[in-house]
Amino acid sequence: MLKSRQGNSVETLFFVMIFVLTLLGGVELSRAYAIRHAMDSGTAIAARQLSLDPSAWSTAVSTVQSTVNANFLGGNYGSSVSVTALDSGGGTLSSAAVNALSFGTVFRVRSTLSLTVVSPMLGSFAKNLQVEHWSIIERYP
Amino acid sequence: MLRNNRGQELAVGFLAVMIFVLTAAGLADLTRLVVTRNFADRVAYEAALIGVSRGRDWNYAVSNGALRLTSATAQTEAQSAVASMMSQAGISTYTVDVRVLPDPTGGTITGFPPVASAAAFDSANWTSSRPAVGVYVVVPMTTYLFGMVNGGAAVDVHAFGAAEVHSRP
Repeated sequence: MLKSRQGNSVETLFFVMIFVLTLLGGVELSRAYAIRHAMDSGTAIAARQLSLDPSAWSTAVSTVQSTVNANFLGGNYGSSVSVTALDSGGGTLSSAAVNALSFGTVFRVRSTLSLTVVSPMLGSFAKNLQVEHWSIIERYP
Repeated sequence: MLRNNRGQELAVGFLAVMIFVLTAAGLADLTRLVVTRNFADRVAYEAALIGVSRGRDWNYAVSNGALRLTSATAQTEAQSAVASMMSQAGISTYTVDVRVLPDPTGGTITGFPPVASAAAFDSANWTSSRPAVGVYVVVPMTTYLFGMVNGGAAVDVHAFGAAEVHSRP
């Protein structure tokens, strides 16, 4: 009888460990997904903003950051997001270079965030979230 | 009370572990499918936008007062954009089908996209009242759980994106 109770305790402990690990892992996964989704939407809008007005670099960056801050699980990660403009070949562009792009030029906007994921029993580790959107300069000339 | 239930417990434990593993595999598949579909949607839409932007026939606009697209240019530009985005994402196996409605009044292409659910509006006939570019992308993806059922064959993720020219007189 005593042996059986000990066995049950071990089973329960084992089950609770797996359950807690799964539950908190799920929460962390949801958080990362919500942030990535917000960053994706914000970057798409930023690329479209730059497409229409290539001089609006700070507005575009602010769009990404505020969209990330507004993700449905919260967290204020906006200020940690880094936004970069690239040419179609992958070369980095400064804000001045974006502003100097001519009509019809394809460019990319990339947002990156290093997110610390905390997992019980496994510790914490950094996960790099990155999204990228392509667009084309529509300002004429 | 004194019966030995160890065999039964083992069976229950094995069943629980199997359910847990299958659920995890199913969730992983679902997440990867959603992420791939989002990516394919984005590629299709952004390629269509690039195609429609680069394919505008300005000479026609100057002489006729309305915009139309140069089909070959719009198609090539959209295809090239898809190739760049896929290459950048490290995807080498995919299918792309670009169609162009070049006329100022647009038109209809029946049976496009070939899979109705590829488009957000879930239609097998693509219609536009303006010059437009439609991009249909298929990205094959291997799955864990479904792969056990279909012998590891890839599951196709379909996406469709379109962009049109809007000009004001």
